[in-house]
Amino acid sequence: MIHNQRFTLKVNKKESEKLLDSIHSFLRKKLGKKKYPLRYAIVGIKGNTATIEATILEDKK
Amino acid sequence: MKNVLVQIVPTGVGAEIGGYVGDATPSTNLLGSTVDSIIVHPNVVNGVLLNCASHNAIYVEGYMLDKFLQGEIALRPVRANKVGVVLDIGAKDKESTDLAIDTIEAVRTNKGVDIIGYEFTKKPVGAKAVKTKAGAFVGEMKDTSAFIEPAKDLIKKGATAIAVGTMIQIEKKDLDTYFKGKGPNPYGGTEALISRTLSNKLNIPAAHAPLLRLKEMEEMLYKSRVDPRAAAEAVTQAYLGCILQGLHKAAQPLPIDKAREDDILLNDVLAVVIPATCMGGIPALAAEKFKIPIIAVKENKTVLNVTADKLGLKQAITAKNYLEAAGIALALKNGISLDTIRRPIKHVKEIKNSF
Repeated sequence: MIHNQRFTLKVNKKESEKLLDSIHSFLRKKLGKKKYPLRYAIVGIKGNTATIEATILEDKK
Repeated sequence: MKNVLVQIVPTGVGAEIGGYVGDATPSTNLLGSTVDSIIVHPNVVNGVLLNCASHNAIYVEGYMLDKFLQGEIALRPVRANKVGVVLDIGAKDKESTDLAIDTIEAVRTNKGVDIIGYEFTKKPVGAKAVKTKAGAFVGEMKDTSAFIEPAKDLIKKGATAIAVGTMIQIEKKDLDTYFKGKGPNPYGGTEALISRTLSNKLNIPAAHAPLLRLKEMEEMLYKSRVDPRAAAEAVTQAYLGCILQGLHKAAQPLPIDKAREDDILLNDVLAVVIPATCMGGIPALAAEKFKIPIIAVKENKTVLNVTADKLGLKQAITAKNYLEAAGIALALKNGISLDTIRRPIKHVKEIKNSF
């Protein structure tokens, strides 16, 4: 199954080189092992809060 | 040293340039003329039956491209792939199927692409385009095995790249808005997900094209005088054409430790060129992480507003348009500091000892 989900995440803009890794670990924690983000992007940012839209591949097994 | 550009135009976000069908290709060919090769994902150059990318454009599906930009894989250019085609049984009315098969034949006989054959899915794929709160189009589907299983079968029978043609359920009003040039392409987001799923599961070059039922084809064909950027799909619905041409020589992914000297690695990337409002995706964030210059093109507006300033990205260089982006790419390639070309020019700074 493929579906979409929105998340919000606090980001540290001063460490922009770590943004990718922080989103990775955030999504890994949120989604667990059976769901995999096929793609994701920050689609909005207000202050230090980023809105992320992710498309998720969910294995049945 | 190789000089490789990566050009990204995210799918389904209404990009002014590249948000339609193949309409970023002139910018690809301009940027590509400044370097040894330019890596593009299908959305950048897919133009229904047309794929007018230059010879040095390397076609890489978005999921693979994300992995490449994160330093997880290398890319191996190939002379030619053997392409297998998966067709959605959900679109199996005679007109739709005939058009798909005739398109395959047209590409074989005009371009010489080795297409090993086509295989129908056992059940309809059931893909649906969905508009997100941010205004972009993405996709949903219940069962991905419908297209993965025939793709696996084609690989067993010798395919080294997979093209998939499926029905995508969309709202007619979204299509009308798009044809007027006032909204994102509703197909693109779903297409990207199908090819991303295939790449994720099968680790092979893949691309998707929509198949239309006769009624949808007629509605699209008789639109007359659409936005010029959408014109390619007002004259034909032979969507498989562009992806078969792209997959013909699409680069193969391989583990970094298996890479040879002539393969492409992240170290070869001179810069990543992206619309200035799309800095929140994996390509821009990966470039920031690995200190690769990001050329942020302002003229290519989208429905998003995630800029380098808003994210504090330090690697971003703003270009007004793709013409300026090509100049920046040339300067980077030749090691010319951008500051030295602009005026006014500042004095060199004295740096105080800090030891």
